[in-house]
Amino acid sequence: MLEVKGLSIHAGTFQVKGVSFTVAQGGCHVLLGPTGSGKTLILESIAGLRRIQAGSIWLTGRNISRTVPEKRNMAYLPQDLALFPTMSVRENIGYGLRFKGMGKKERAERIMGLASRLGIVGILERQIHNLSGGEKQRVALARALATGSMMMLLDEPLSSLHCSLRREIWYLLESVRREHKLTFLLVTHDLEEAFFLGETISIMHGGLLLQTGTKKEVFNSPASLEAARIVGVENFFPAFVQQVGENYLRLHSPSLDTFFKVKRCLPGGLFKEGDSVILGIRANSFILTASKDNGKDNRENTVSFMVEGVYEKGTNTTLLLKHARDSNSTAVAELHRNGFMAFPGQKVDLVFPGEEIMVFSAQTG
Amino acid sequence: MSFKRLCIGFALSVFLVYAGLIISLYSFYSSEHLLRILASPRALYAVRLSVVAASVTMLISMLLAIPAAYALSRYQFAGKRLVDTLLELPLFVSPAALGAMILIFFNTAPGVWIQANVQQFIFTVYGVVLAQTIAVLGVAVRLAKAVFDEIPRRYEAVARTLGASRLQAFTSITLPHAYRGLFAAMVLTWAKAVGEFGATVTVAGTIAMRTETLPISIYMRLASADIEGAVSSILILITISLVVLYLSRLLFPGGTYVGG
Repeated sequence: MLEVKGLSIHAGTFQVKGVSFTVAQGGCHVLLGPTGSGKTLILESIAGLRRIQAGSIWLTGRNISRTVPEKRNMAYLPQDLALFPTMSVRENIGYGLRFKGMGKKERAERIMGLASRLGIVGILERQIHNLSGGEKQRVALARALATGSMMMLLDEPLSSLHCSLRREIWYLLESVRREHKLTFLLVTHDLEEAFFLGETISIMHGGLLLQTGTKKEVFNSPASLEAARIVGVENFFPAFVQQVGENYLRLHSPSLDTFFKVKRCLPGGLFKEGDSVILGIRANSFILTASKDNGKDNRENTVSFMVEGVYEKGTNTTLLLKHARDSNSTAVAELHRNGFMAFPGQKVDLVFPGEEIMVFSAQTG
Repeated sequence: MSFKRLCIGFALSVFLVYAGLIISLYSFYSSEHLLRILASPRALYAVRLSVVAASVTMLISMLLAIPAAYALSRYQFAGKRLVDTLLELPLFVSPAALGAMILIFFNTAPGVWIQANVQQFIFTVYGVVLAQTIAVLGVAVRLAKAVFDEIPRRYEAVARTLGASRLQAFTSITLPHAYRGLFAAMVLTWAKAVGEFGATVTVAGTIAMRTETLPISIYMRLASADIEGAVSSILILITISLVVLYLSRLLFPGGTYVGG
């Protein structure tokens, strides 16, 4: 198990402050956040490549905060993979083994075993510059696995791959992790990658850890407006709390000229009547129908929008929408391709399901 | 005229300047004189001293420059900016001034002690090596640093997570990656040392058959109005330098370059 407690790191004027999280033995924890949020600094500090200013790092009950990288027994896969260009594939994979006091025969067997498992036997004698992107990923993975480290630190190692190859490597990483009972700490800004590989997720922004939890908790209940943005919530509208019920909130949005009943379980006492809030909803949470707005009814949880743009994205269609009366209020909706058909200029009704609406304080986010 | 043609024109102009200077030597060239000089013990001594002193200078400079350049490239330490700035000293202080500074140092108490108890440098072959080393060391560090700067630190970082110590990562990853660039730095350091004159003449003087390197020999022959002798010495110096540069390019057909 890896425990990070109150980690603070300085890098020039940028600071990571008081970050704490735990990675379960054999689990995959993801540090998710935009570029420049401090994810890589944390990973480098855990690998021992960067000095920490405060806090501590514990690996299976041992404080390794001051341990040199070569004694931490953690494999590190950087974004650019850093395969050694002066060595062949075989030499790259076997590099770490030379420090393990292994015999030549044992080393050769280990290299061959990993190469067979990862499907790279045929390229063992090749030079690094002659490899494709996918081959490089496999070689880097084999090199990291060769030393027998049970903890792997992955710093966006798949970011340069195209979509289909990236998925292929996801499956490979997942199967290797389960097979070797490895613990992964993955840094990524890719939401899909985070939710595919991660079991638990920490959301980073501006050097701060915004939220940590299981992927279900983080996805369904982002703790703040910024966390919601990072986990893919795209629609936000200002509103006021009109009524606080036992298991619901009733909101009014003046800009959308609509009342909303929020049925999510929110922490007690979080909001009171009159509070200024931000209402958030995912693009794929809307229910879309042809408009029945007659301009008179005040329909709860339903707002009329005009379709501004329709963008086909394979299995999904993204709609850019503008509020029928207030052109400053815009929304993004995502529809399944075989569902409702929309076209630019069409007036549609967006239903905000009460259980899908998220509410954030307008003051603190 | 296109930009491409303009740039090529400038490149050819630079070539013509140097080629013109070399061709002009033939106004005073005599093959008889050259053969006679080549066979003379004095010229052979000057060639031998130039090559040996420049080689020793290059070895000392690179032995000091490689770890120093690595430290400047990789680590943060107190006074780093000052050290980095002082490396430019041989570039903006004239070689004669550098030589004078060495002479002045040997007139201070520590310098006098070194001369008396360790090694006599003034007007000796050791002085030649010392003057050349001081004149080229800064450049050697600067060239080696440029090589290390070009090598991503990420390689060493990954090597360390795979179990290598700092030294093992340096010897197994960084040095093999840097060898072409470091070789180029060695060749350039040697070439600068073999042609060094100002500091050498100030420290070692102009003593025939003792501290007479090829540049000093050229100066001595010019001073005694032996133009043909000076031309022959210049041609020998140019030939030695070109042969070394050519052989280094044969060793690395892709071209030696500073930058890894």
